[in-house]
Amino acid sequence: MKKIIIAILALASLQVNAQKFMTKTGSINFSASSPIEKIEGNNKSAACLLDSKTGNIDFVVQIKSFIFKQQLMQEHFNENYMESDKFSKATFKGNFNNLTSINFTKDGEYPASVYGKLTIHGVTKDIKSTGTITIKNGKPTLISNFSIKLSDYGIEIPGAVQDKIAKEAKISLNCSLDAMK
Amino acid sequence: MGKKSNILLALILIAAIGVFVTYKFIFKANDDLSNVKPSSSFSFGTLMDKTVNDTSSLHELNNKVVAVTGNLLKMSKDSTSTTLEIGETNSNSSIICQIDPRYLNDFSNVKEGDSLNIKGKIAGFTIDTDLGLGNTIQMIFCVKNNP
Repeated sequence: MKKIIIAILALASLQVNAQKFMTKTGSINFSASSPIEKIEGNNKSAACLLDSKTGNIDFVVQIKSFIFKQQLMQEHFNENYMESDKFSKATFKGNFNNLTSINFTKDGEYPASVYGKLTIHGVTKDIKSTGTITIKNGKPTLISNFSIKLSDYGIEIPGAVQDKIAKEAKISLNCSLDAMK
Repeated sequence: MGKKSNILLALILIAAIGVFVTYKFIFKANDDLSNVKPSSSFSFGTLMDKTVNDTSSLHELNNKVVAVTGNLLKMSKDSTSTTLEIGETNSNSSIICQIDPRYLNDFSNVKEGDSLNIKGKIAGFTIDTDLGLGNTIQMIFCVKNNP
């Protein structure tokens, strides 16, 4: 009898966890390229947690994990613009606007609309973004592209390089999530 | 050849060297850690313990090259990158290693569950207090460690 109860409880806890999905190897690309210079960084270690029941979605991104092709660009990104020793992480805490139109138990591609608070460089702003959520074999993949104004987040671009760096950075994310343990 | 021509030639040569040095400086690739000796070596458990018991010494490891031995939990790949998650199956805490794109081939035969010895630069860590993601240590420019 005891064993049956334990088995039922174990199954119930699996059921509860199946509503939550996570990854720590999400992909976030950053581009502030201008016609003069290509400025792109990739981060393949974004952490994301999605609760399919509440619609809550969280991202945590370590700024120093963005990789640039040139060492100098990487140094400038961290030291001059993002001040990553001081503001080591970017975070997003939000929610799906259209949670009821996403069926997490049925394979397919669903449009997604998300709103929440994005914190970069120690500045928090409300943002809204759209994208898609694809369910395949019960696992969701999030894809979204959006832009942010660097000045909104207190990221200053010195006059000498203003023509080389876009005032709006394009962010694209692609996160394949697994059911949480 | 006149004196003026010699001076002009020397100036052109100096300018060319200047352009070359500046170009090399601006477009220098990120450091290749394959020949860098790690400042310290840890097992997965020992390094993760620092996220709980000794964050000050973990702070000191930021930007340092360290070696880690542990089991591969998950491997994420695309055409230009490989990212490894080192950890234990009974915990969400893990070390995330972004592999140096110049050394992707070294990991082509690696599979989940394998024991790995990797070195890379510590980019930071996250202590998770509310999300349930577990603590995370981030490493970049990772390569195989062949001590």
